[in-house]
Amino acid sequence: MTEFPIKRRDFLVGVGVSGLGLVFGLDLKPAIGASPEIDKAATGAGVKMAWVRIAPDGAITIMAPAAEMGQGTMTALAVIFAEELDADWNNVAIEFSPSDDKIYGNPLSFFFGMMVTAASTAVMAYYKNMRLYGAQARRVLLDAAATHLNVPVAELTTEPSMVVHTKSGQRLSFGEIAGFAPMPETLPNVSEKDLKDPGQFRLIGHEVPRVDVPAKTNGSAQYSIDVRLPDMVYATVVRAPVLGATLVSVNDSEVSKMRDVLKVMQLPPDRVAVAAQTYEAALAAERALKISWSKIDQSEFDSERAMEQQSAIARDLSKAGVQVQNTGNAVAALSGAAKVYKAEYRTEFVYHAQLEPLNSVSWVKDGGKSVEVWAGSQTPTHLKRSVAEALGIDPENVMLHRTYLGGGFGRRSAMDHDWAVDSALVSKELGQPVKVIWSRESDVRFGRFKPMTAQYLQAAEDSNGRLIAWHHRLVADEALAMTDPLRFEKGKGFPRISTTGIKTDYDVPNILVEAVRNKLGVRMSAVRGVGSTVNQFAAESFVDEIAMARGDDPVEMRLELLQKSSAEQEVLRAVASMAAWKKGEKAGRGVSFVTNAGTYMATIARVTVDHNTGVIRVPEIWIAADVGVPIMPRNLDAQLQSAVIHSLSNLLKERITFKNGAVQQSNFYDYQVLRMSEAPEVHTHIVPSTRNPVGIGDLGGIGVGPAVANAFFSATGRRLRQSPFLPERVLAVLKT
Amino acid sequence: MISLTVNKRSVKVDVEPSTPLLWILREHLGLTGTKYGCGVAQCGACTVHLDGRPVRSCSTPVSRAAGKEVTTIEGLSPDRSHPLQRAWIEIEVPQCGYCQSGQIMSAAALLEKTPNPVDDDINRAMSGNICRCGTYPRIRRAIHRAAEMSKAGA
Repeated sequence: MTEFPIKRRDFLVGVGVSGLGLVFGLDLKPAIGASPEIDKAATGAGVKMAWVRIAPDGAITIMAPAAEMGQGTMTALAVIFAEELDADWNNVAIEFSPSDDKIYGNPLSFFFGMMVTAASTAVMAYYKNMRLYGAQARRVLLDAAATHLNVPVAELTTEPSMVVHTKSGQRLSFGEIAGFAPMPETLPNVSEKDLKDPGQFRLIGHEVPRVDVPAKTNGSAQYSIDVRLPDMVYATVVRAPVLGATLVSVNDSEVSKMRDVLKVMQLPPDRVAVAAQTYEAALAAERALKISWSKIDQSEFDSERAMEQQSAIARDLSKAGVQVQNTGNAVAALSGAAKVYKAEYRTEFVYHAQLEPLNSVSWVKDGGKSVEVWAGSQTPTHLKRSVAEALGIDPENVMLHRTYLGGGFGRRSAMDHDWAVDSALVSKELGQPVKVIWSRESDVRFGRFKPMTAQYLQAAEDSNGRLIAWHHRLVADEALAMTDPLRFEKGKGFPRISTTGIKTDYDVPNILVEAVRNKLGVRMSAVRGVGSTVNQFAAESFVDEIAMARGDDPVEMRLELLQKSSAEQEVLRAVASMAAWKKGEKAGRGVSFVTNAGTYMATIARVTVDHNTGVIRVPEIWIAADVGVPIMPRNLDAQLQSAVIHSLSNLLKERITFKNGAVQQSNFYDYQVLRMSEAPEVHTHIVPSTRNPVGIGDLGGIGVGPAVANAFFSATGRRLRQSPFLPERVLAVLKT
Repeated sequence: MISLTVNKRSVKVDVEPSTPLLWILREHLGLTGTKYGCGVAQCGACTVHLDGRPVRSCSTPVSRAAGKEVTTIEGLSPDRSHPLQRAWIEIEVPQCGYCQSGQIMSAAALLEKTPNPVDDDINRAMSGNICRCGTYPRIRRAIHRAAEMSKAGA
């Protein structure tokens, strides 16, 4: 295994740092035409393509199309490209790509060509293309070297950042070639047969360090909240607490007299902004605002009541949903079955709680005709479109400087970029650069949440005890409708986010999985693990309920149901072996098996339950995953651990509730998340695979909920069917 | 005018005495490595040292720092080579990275007091710092690693 030295120099991430901490950006112009392309004007000054620049000094700069929010794909995608280019990793720097769908759009069909970093898809989506583009860049260098050396290109090979002519012993570095490379009229064709044999990989699957790590240990990593510009002022923005309510009145004349306050702005229909010389003044002014909002029907919304309604819909089988999976005839099989199992599960609203509150910096110029924006977005071209629309300008005139994201988890993916439009509108009004930072309280109250769900499951056995029917009914609102109306419309209204990971891979002859959308009128979003977390909580808890009722070992029962897929069985066997699972054990441990978009995972959790306080502790979790070819094994381990902990936090502690249409929580004292002392030890295992890579960063934790719920049953003989597993809920179920 | 020392430099600021130290550091002095997370001393992202003790700068009025020494992540070591920073890189702790300045400053204060911490010491000292990405297991490992490095004099 190759180890690479840690590079001391900081990596450029599309923003440069100068002097007094002022930051100026450089939005690279995309190469002309379809990807990948060559900038012909630059001949002699290095190779410039849409995905890579190679300078005469040997520096190789690879474009990162995906957002970097901790998942590491900024490095992973460059590793894939560098592998096929045959670059010496020590020469590689990575830059955020320009925001241009035509070149850098996510290739997965359901993103419709748009730049989207979400749902663990970056590596899976870009893997093939990054390899081909890397191979193509290598071929450009080979062709140029062949002409220069006057030898057939077929006689040339490469070593890291070096073209070699073995016959004559001549060697040319990539940098040397970049110095003279004549640019071809058209780019050479490459196909999959030009790609490396995976056995030759030097970078993929080896321990390449993440490039963003060093700057994140010394305070120099740049998030948009860190951007400072000359004459920049600050603002905060308050929104209607009830979605759809409008501004009636605000004490603006009073607040605008406060120290350092520049202006209190009404931004109809539902926002008030306060601009000030300093952020502390803007925050103080925000707290002094007295705003009245209109009363609307939604002002009656109560999440507890809504849960009862959703539950009733889930149990009302006459209301058919959108079919997500349908084989055989589950309804008929259930009605004539020897034995039927039934259970209902519920999950509540969850907040992203990304640690960097939403913020952006905008500088509207040319009398409102153009704008520069600094922001960390999961959908940067959506940001450009939305800011352009808000300012009434062309998206071409929005120059976006992409920064690191201090957590995304879906919050920075919504099309409308309400948090970026804020600074653009205030900057337009003031004619100055403006940094808008949402207070944590605003970030919570105007958050967008993982929708609550009620899920009703039924399964049937025939007289031989064989599982013959599976019926999973999900009732939830669909986050995509709000978060990305464009994609929702292009996807013909299919509830893509809420139904993620709901299909079952178990070998049951009659399956019906359906989703009923129940519009709730609240702010919603994709949140880490999207629908998978809650859907698998229900499905895999239910499987355990069946296993326990039958007296089956939950690992063995699952293995039997997965007989058609040895790869899926393999992760279960792997986790059982890691955790030294004993058949029929009653040691407070539970298991789950989950799949999503080609990722297979099996999880075992161990819990202890304090019967006096109702507190569940989870000291240990084992997880085995098959994610196809691993790109960066160490990062994979990190992503699994972190996704497990994030998911456990959601499960044990987190919920957003609504009363009178408004969010009741406001900060980390009433929306608690998992802390160090509560974090389990997480043992991970990556099952070797030669499949094309799939995803993990978003999904790694989706098996945690059911594994913990099943472990709780193992420890107590009681079922927790509603998350979060708050102590009062635990105490209540222990009393039953 | 309030005078304080920040990373061994004397600084004078003309602000309301109640202004949180956080905003002085970040927006007035440009030391943006210290982060805003909650504003109410719940998340630890804004942790700095005040005369060597860890404090949440979002809830520390600048007047409390008058005449005192403030150390931020930028001043933790002259060349970014504090054992914790090296261990953090070696173990690849950060993910989104936003909380990590605060994590490192809390860990540095812990190691000052307890050079060879056990897990319980770490849990106690670090539970005021939220990492939403969930890097806790790596933070724990990196603190142990840094303690080893310091002991070895590396």
